[in-house]
Parts: sequence; structure tokens; C-alpha cells
Amino acid sequence: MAVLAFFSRKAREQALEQFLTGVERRAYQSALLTTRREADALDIVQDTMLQLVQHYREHTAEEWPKLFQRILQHRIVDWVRMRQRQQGLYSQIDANENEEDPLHQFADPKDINPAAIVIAQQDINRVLNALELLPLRQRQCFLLRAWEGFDTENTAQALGISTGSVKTHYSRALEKLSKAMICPTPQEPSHAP
Amino acid sequence: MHPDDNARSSNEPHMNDFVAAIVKNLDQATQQLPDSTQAALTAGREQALRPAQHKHWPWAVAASLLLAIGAMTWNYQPQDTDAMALELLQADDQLLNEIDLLETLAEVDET
Repeated sequence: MAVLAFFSRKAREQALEQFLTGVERRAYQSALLTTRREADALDIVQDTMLQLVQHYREHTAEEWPKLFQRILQHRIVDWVRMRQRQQGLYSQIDANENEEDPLHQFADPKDINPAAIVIAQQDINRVLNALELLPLRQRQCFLLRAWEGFDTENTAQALGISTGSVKTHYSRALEKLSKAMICPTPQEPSHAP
Repeated sequence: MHPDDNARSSNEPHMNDFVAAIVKNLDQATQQLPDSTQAALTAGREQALRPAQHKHWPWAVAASLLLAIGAMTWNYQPQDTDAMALELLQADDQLLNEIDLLETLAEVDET
């Protein structure tokens, strides 16, 4: 029995390491889009991995992605709040929750295909900059739904918000991204190739 | 993107291509991370996994200590106090005899 338990534990540790190896780069990129500082993004990812290993390693492997993203997104929000406390700025996390969508004031870009622009330009920095310019919740919703493949329910659970808010944030994120691709805002590139 | 619940994006045919293009760029950016960043991520992962791998070391240390104490107790032979007292008495007698002898020798020298 002890031998079986030992091998079971080893197999679990290997599976956990494989899982972390698979998600660490995307987690870092996701954190970097918010922090824009490599050291802070690395800290967030490492803290997330540590929390997962310490508290959730006994959970099933199917639960790890959701738990990992939940911890990661909370760490990112914590980082933003800490920065805002340090800088004395007002919270912008929920600021866009109830505001009128400013994109409604612009012309409908339906006639222009932003996908064609992205594919044609192949400008990674421009895409990253457009993602950086999104409000935090919109960026989180977009990354979880579009990049991590989460559905609305899991995204809402990971972010601790309602499914309706997820749909709203995601929709607004798409609109802002498409606008940013069509009419990019001048900004210094913060991502070295 | 998850197939269900496409929100408003499903109403616009080009939006799925747009999201796919964004995701493709994100994947490329992630693949192009510098080696130093990957090394830092690897170090962080190993550090996160280390406590889990060595979680039982306090028990191993405690078990080793108990084993060592047990072995020492097994080989321990209590000292015989009677024998020690006898040795002390014999030493005292020997000392007194030597003093007597010295005194006798001193008297002989004086005479």
C-alpha cells in the first residue's frame, strides 16, 4: 500500500509539473499585459504556482486549469489594487462596469474587417498594445474566453463576477480591440520583440 | 474561444476570424519570450514544486532522531554504584597507607 501511495504521489507531482510547464508562458504573458513589468509578472506567476501546489495539488487534474486561472486573475487584481494604493489612483477595475460604451459614438466598423488588418500586418506589438489598453476586466474576460478557451460560466467563476458581466466585458473588449486595430492609438511600444 | 455563448460576436461574421488572429498573435508573442524569462519561469516552477516534494522531511528527521536515541539506549549499561563506592574506599585506604608510610619515614629521618 505504501509503495502504491508513493508511486501515486510521484505521478501526481509529475502531472502537476507538466501542467505548470504548459500554462506558465501564457500566464506570464497574461500578467505582463497588465503589469507591463517583467519582474512583477514573474512574481505573480510564481505566486500563483505556489498557491496551486500548496493548496490544490490534491484536486483532480481537470480542476487545475480553472483553479490556476482563478488564482492568477485574483493575483493580477491584487497587483492592480496595490499599485493603485501606491499611486493614489481611483479604482478602474469596475469603472467600466456601468459606463456608457464610448464606442457607440464612433462609426460602425462593420464594413472594415479587423481580422484582415491583423493578419495583414502581423504586428504582434500592436496587438499586445491594444490588449494593454483594455480595462482590466475586459482584458481578463477576453484572455480567458478567447485564449484559454473558458466558457462564460467558468470565466465568471474565475473572475468572481456574473455571467452577464462576462458577456458585456467580452463584447466591449472585442469592440475596442477591433477599433484599436483599425484606428490604433499612438503609444510607445512596451514590448520588446 | 469556447463554442458556446458567443455573445454579440456571433452576430458579426468576421469577429471569429478577428479573435483567431488576435489569439494567433498572442501565441506567437508567447513563443518568442526570451530565454532569460523562460529560465525565470522554470526556476519559479521548481521552487513552487519543491515544498511538495520535500514535505515529509520533518518526519524523516524525527524518525532518525528516535532511531539514534533508541540505539543509544539499547547499548547503555547502568553503572554499578556499589562497585564505585568500593573503588573509592580502596583508594582512600591506599592514600591513608601512603600518608602513614610517609610520616613513618619522616620520623625515621628525624631520629
